Amino acid sequence: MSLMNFFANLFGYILNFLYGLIGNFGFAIILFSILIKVLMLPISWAQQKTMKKSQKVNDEMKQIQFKYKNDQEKMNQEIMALYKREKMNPASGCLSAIIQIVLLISVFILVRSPLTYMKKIDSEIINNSIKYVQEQGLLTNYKEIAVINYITNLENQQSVENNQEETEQQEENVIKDENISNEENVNNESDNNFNIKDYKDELYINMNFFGIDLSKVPTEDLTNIKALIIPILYVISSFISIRLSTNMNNKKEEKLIGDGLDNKAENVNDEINEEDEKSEEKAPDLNDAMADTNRKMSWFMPIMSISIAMVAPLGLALYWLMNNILMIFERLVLNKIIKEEGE
Amino acid sequence: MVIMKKIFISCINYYQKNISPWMENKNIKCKYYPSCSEYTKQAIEKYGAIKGSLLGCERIIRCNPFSKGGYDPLK
Repeated sequence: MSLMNFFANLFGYILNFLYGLIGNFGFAIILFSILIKVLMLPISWAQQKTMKKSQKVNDEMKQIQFKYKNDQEKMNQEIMALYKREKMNPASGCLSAIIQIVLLISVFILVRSPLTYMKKIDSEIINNSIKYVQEQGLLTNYKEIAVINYITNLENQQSVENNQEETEQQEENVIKDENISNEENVNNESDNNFNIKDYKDELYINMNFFGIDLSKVPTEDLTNIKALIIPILYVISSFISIRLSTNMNNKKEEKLIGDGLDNKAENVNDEINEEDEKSEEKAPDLNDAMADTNRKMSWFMPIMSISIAMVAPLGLALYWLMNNILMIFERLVLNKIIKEEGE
Repeated sequence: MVIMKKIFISCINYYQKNISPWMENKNIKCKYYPSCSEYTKQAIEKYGAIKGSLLGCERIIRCNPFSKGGYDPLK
């Protein structure tokens, strides 16, 4: 947990800096995701390159897969030996996967409590304002978000009031005075002289992103259709990225079979075809079955991440959406560059 | 202790069935054979929940972008 808090703190500094530049939480998140992607570019570049390289040894790999199709243990051993011979390994490894998950959760922590991690506001002030909002009966699952909402509403009210005509203003002033005296009562009840309005500027975060309030949680208010736009876009971008990766894999195999680049590969395929009729365990079917399970199983995580995006403040969904878009973009561009280099 | 062992192993089984394929789809793969999760599972079965998990952690740390990977069965 402390590791994630550490990253959330670190990201908070970056995000706060970006927020200071632009003054809008949504655009700060977009810039933040671009920044992280650019920092990670060298790693994904190297990875994409080894992936291309692995296409070269693909037919050798097919031979191994065919040869040891009945012996998983031996097959994988041979594949690892092949990687060693070629001094390459297309996999990125498990540690980087775990680090990515840690980063994802850190962003969630950051978006959930932006006052603590982004604005680095004193915890005493935050606790007092949370208590205050709680007394107003406006507390939601995300306490700091509720505080920000309250402050935003205050700001909006004020600007509306300023625009109103004098006569109305006078009337409202009376009501406001009553409100203030009510609030004072509440403050007296809670036995501290904390006034949330003193910290209004500190606690305020501009969460308005093209008319969408990024502090909203989609499932908390299902009638708010605007709040669903970002999760829906996120779903669409996930579809595209999954499509893209499966398409690329398919293309790889098609190319290998269709072009007949190597006689060996063709021979292997012929043998496989002959074998098809005889034996029950067929290599291509094995591949198909594997692809099939991949297709089926790949639904678990998307559904999971979509449901997380629905119960978290929209800022998280926006970050994930940007991440997906950038990933699609990066993959297309890097592939093109590597292809051109190869030619 | 037996319960711990069972819980850990069912967690790993669940991961292997549901989460791992999705990660493979995103080109996140283990560098070793047997994979880190399989290795950890075997280690927990052989050495118990605590030592097995530690061995698994050690293996995952080895499975970083700078390692060469390869065939690495449980000893």
